[in-house]
Amino acid sequence: MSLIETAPSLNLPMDLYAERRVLGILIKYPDQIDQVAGRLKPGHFVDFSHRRIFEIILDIYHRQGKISYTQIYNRLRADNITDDPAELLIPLTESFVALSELGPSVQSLIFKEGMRRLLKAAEEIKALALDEKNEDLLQVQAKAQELIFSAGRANGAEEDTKDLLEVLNKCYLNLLRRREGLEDAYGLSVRYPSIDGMTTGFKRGDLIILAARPSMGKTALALNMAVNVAKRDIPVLIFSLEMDDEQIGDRIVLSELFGRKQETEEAVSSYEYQTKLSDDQFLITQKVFNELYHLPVIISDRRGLTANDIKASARRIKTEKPDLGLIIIDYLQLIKPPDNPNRSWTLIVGEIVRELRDLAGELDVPIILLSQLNRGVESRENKRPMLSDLRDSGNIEEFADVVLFLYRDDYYHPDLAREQGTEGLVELIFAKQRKGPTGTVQLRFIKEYTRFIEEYPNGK
Amino acid sequence: MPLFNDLERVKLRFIQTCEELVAQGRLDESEFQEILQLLDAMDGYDDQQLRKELSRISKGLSDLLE
Repeated sequence: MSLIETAPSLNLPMDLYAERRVLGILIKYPDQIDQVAGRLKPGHFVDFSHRRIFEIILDIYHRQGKISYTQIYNRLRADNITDDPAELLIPLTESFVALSELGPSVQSLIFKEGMRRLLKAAEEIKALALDEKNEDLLQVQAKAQELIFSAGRANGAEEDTKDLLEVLNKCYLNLLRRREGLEDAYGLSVRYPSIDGMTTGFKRGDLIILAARPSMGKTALALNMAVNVAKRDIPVLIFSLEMDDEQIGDRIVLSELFGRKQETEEAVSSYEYQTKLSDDQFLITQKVFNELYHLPVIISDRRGLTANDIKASARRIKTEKPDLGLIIIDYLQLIKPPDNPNRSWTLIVGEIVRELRDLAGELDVPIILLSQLNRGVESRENKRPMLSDLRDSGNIEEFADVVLFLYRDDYYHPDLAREQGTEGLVELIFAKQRKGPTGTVQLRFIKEYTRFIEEYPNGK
Repeated sequence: MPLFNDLERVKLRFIQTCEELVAQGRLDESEFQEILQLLDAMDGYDDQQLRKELSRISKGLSDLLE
């Protein structure tokens, strides 16, 4: 049987000789299967019979740890794929000369499969562009970006389902990395020990809701965490739907100036920063600027973004910066809903949150979504937020992996706080954590510098 | 390696022939499966034992050995 006879379509990028070489080598050298199985999926083989032989090889190997042509012959015979399995298998025995051909052949299959996915995405985009029912250019652009992004993800085609063996292998590797104390075995540390202690780091693909009433310090905490992450050269993307870029920049600088205040005599107050600085203060501030310049923080301050706009922009940044480590969206209620007057606000919010959670999974990055709580909290005697406070605004808590509330008692009882010295104490209430405990930790909020610091028992 | 591949090709041709015998009714399915198992484990047999086993399974069908 010639290669051309078995090829499903000559218009697809493919390398049938490499397909045969890989199969022939794996049967001869089954000890290479573990190495190849993580990189190749059945979808990497265009020829249907090759794909089936690859599946059979994996199955037999995982059951018995060894492979033979005889067993493959018998399975092909049972499948009734061909009248003559020997005619499929004999060419495999003649397909290669040395084991060293395996690596380049695997690379070739990965390349061709990536090309096929790109081609498929291009065809779908062409169909989108020609569809006269489309009216919204932005929506079509977002869909096109999504298609290209999905096509560009490595080995993405066949990975929707996984064997338990594959899943447990990943868990075991993580277990070993944690045991060895490797930092990347945990989630993303935001360098607040009390937060990291509760979460063991924000996990990739998680949606974290950071919710509070206005003026509690949501944006400040999110920016503080962003800078802490970026200081380790991990890119952070911030969607600021409320503040413009300069306001964010000033807040970041101010927050860093608080650190200098503790280190030097010549403190720079928030008021001074925003009015006029002495020469010494200017030098201190300039140093802060210099330290911040190189941080990989990307800011989008466009107002009125829809969830689709955010997704499109995030995908673009992720493509440019594959090591993107954190996305912050400030804040949920300012995301423009799609034009559909017949749908309730609750449903719309639920849908936006679900889309953002899917985005976190798609990009494999934690997303911190800030959210305002409505006035319902104020009507209670105990004004600490609860999960039920989110329910009025759509099923936010259902889709979130972590729900974190901020609560400042001094906001409601300023006199009492002054008396008790608890001014600026902020409770971080972990009301929900899919992968960790719930509970409350405390930070201190230095409002003048929009800076959160750890609150230690000895008051330091 | 050429030896391995040559041997595998011979085995596959042999299985092909056995399957023709099944189609002709000269071997039944269980005998065919026994032959496959024997081939799979043939490293554990010497030439004499292999011939003897094949002869037993095929009830003396001399074609198989030629």
